[in-house]
Amino acid sequence: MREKIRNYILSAFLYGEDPRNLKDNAQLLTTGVLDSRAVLDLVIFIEREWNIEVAAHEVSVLNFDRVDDVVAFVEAKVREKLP
Amino acid sequence: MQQRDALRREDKVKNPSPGVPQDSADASSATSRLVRFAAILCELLGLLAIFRIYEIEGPAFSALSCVVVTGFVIHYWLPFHWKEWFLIAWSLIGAYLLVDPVTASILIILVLAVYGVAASPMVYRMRAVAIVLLIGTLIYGRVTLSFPIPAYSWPLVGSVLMFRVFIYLHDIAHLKGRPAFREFLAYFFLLPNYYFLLFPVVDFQTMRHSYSSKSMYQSAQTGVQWILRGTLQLLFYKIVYYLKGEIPFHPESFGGVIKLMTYGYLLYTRVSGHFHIAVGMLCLFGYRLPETHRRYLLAHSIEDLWRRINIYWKDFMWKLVYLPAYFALRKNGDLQARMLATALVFVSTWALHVYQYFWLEGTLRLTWTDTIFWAVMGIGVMAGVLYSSTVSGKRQRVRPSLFRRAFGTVGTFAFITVLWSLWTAPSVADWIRMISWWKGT
Repeated sequence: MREKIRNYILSAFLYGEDPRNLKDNAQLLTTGVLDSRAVLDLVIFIEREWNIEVAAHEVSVLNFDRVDDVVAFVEAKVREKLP
Repeated sequence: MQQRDALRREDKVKNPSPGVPQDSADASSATSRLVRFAAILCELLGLLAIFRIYEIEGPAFSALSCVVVTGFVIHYWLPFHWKEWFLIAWSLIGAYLLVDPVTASILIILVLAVYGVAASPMVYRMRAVAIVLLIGTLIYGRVTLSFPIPAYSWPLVGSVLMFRVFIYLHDIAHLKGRPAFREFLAYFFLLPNYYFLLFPVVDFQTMRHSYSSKSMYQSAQTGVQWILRGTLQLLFYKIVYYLKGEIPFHPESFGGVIKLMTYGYLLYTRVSGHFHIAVGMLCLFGYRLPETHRRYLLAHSIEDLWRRINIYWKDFMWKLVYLPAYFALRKNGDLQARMLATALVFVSTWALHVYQYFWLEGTLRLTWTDTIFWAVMGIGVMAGVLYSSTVSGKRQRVRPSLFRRAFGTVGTFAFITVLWSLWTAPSVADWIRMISWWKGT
């Protein structure tokens, strides 16, 4: 999951960037690395990839600021879906 | 490019060079802590000297700066669990030092009233309705001046409550558990707000998210940098203000019109400077808040300008207007939802600027210049959304050439300069007279 999310961010928004420069705990949203449009694209990607539904209020700095936050958020959403 | 720069900046913050002490309880010896404190204090004292020598803003700003620096000196040495309580107490004392006692008391009573409702055991919907009614009552009081609140107290009351109440309401609806009383007080009693009435719309979640014991030193250092950036902008503003004063409002040459428009747009550096200093002061107390402006003079499109100028406003609109609208509409198609949500953002921005002006000035300011400005900005951003979603769907994979980027930057600057001159003109007729240099005065 982490690799998929990292690869998506790198290929969609940081094309050509050395993957080592993308730290999992680096702030992406609050520093402008990801703009609001990029975050929406990321939301659509994780919804399709893991078949989950994201609500408007969940698109926040708490869930989308760092790769670590996104991974934790997706893991929690996937767990929620399990019977 | 901008994203990559930001990534590297962030990387430097996350992974400081060897030898630079990390701010953690384990790593910092008493000596290094003292050295770091002394370094920041020297920087702050240098800034205070600049404020005084160059007469930045005036005595009220100097008083705020002294209160902030004194607060920082005490705050820095307190144990982490005391820090935020101290800041709240200092902000409450600051209210009485920086504002008149009547206004300070009214503000405290009203903010506590909001808390009383927000923290009551009523269901969320009832609490939201009660707070909206409270704000509605205050609006009535602001219009009629019939409450026992002096006219001069209203701008500060409005500045503190007008937007933050709605962000707080939005956040408590979705947060797990209710925010602590301390968090509420820290959010509403922001020390720099007593001077800067036009205050950046700080986000509650972002503020809480940015507060950590591990980043106190980094945060304070960032704060100093931003105060310095803000100061440089205020110095630049003084020069521009002087130069603009040399030109008549109705220039008699094309060059005069260009100068007047350019200086008019550059006067915005005062707002940008204020925002940098206000947020920089909060950073001194451990809130590692994001940038308020990101090199907006170098924006290469209207959409890019919207992302860079007053970022807190853009994020406020994104959270309270764009996302709810987009998620409600996206069943009918992604692009359509993005376009409609963007349109709604600009209608809201226009309406909320009228609302903000009402709180600060006490009158409704409905002008064609305002309407045209936000309509053109909205159309510009929507065109950018459409372009990137259709023509350049793979925009991130293509680096624009330097020439194209430079052309975009110059074009955007020219365009926004003209549009800004219209926005800041008293009326459309005045603006037309201003640009009709060939007609003379």
